[in-house]
Amino acid sequence: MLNLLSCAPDQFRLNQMMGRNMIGCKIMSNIDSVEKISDNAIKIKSGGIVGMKVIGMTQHESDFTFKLIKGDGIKFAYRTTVNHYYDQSSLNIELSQNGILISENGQEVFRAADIRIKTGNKYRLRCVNEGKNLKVYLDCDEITTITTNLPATEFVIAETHKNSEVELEGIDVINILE
Amino acid sequence: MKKIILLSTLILGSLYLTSCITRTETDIYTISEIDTTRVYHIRNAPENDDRGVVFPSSKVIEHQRNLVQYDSIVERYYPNFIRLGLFESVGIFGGSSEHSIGTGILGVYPEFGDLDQKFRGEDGKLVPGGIYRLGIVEKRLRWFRDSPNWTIGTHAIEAILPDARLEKGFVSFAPLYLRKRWYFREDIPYLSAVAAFGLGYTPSQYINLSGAIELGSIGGLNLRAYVGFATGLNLESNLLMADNEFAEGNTFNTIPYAGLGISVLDFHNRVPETLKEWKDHDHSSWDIGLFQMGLISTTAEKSAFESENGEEIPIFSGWFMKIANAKIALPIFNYKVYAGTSLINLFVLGENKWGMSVLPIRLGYWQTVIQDELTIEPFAEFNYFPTNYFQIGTRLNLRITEMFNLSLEGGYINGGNDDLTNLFLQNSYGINTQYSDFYFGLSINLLDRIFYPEHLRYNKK
Repeated sequence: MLNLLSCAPDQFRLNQMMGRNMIGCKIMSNIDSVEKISDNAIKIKSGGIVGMKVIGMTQHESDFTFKLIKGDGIKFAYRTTVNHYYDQSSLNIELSQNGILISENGQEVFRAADIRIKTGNKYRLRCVNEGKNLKVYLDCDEITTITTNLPATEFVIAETHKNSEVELEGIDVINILE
Repeated sequence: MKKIILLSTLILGSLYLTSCITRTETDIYTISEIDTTRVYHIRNAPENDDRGVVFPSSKVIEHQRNLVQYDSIVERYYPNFIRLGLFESVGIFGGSSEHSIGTGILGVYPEFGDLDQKFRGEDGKLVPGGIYRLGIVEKRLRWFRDSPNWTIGTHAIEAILPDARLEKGFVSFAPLYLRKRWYFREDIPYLSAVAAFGLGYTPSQYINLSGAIELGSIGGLNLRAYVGFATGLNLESNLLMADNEFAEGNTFNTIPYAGLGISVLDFHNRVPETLKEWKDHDHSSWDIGLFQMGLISTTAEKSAFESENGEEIPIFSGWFMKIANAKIALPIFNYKVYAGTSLINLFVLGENKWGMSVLPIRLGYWQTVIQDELTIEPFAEFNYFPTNYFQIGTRLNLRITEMFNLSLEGGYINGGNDDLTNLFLQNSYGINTQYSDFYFGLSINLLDRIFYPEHLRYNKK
């Protein structure tokens, strides 16, 4: 009873109903800054950070349809962990009104300034995270393939830019080793 | 059937308690290694003719690319409770002074001669009643949009006794408690104000509203000042009423109370501490443990282990036991001096030579001899209730595991001449006489953790 009553409101699950891989989510910022709006959709408000993982799955294709409601953009971090997130190495994909920037531990590894994210439009981001490679697709285009020496982890961490609000829907994480 | 239910409850309770103590988080890192092998095959023709440029070379290069992946699994362990305690007692004012239970200011100093089922209390005692809690658990409760420092918890058993008349008190197994804390001091030991709402449902049905000032925990010790109000019902059929000749029908009780309390092996975390791994946790004590028991050889004339036909066990002639122990580092000599206590101390040197003590005052000096293994501690201990004795000695502790140690202890004890009718020690070992003896023995220490200098929060940067 105590466990039920003291359940953690900073944690929730996605894809519980649809027969897909269930995604465990942990809100790493103020608990009001991330809102689960349906079984596979969330809204991340300004300053919101959410860590998503499918237990044990490190080689995966993650699929998000996102819409910038307001502000500048969103960052997806791969090959990192929720634990000590800010001190960890990570491979970051930033999608903003200034284009796409991919960086490894703060070092720029790819930039496409002409692919700009517009407020109100929906975009589909797919990232294939396998072995030493991270392939990035936006809508139907393959943007780039990054080769990295960072170990693969289960986590994808989504974080909005300052004063930005983003809706993520159709969230899915697929095991590519199956 | 009852045994099965009891066993199942115990197993479930143990499992729940284990999950209460530690939260485990696991991260998996998959490391990918790519290995490319190039194999050159040159199969020269037998005659090794020069074939000119129009013929292909006989050299063949074979590339083989292997991807090796392995997982590195990291497990992290965190405390999963705000409060986890063994025992709490509070001496309370609020009941009838004519029926005082007489357990003293903190509720832990009973008159052992009065401990009888038919004891109805007596006049002239300072503190009429007590609150007793055994097995205390509190977990973080995140509600009201994550309002800070709320907890939900329970106690294995709780008794609120305004005086010695059982029918006037409340007892409940696993009462539900909601608490909210406001911290005045956020460093160890914490100082906080607590508001609590409790609901007991079996065997008594009651609510308990209380406010308290808490100081602790340090070394698992806490001090509390309570003011509260409990009201509820004892049904005629419940445990307190069933064999009680003084109870008539259902009893409705209202208990306003105020008092001072202490708790032992009662650990209190603030929320930030629950996000810190166990290995990085802050400790303030050299030793905290549940149970120490030793067999000793003493200079007493008559062994405590003598059988009816006069045979004695060789070597050992007495024993001691210490329950719920703490040795808190003091800021003297680089924190090597400690102050300690135990909930209960029992000492039997031999026939007619024994002592019992509640919350003795212990002072000692802790010296690590071999890192992670051997420590030595000369100490002096003053025992004042219910028997008076003074002890000086030295312990040599050998750590076997994190929760199990062995000790060699030797020393000198002086005390005696305490008459405690009804106390089991007096019934077993005779009336206490004056004693002044030396002892030496071996002690096993269960659920007893020894800390080393690097564990102490004072030595962390």
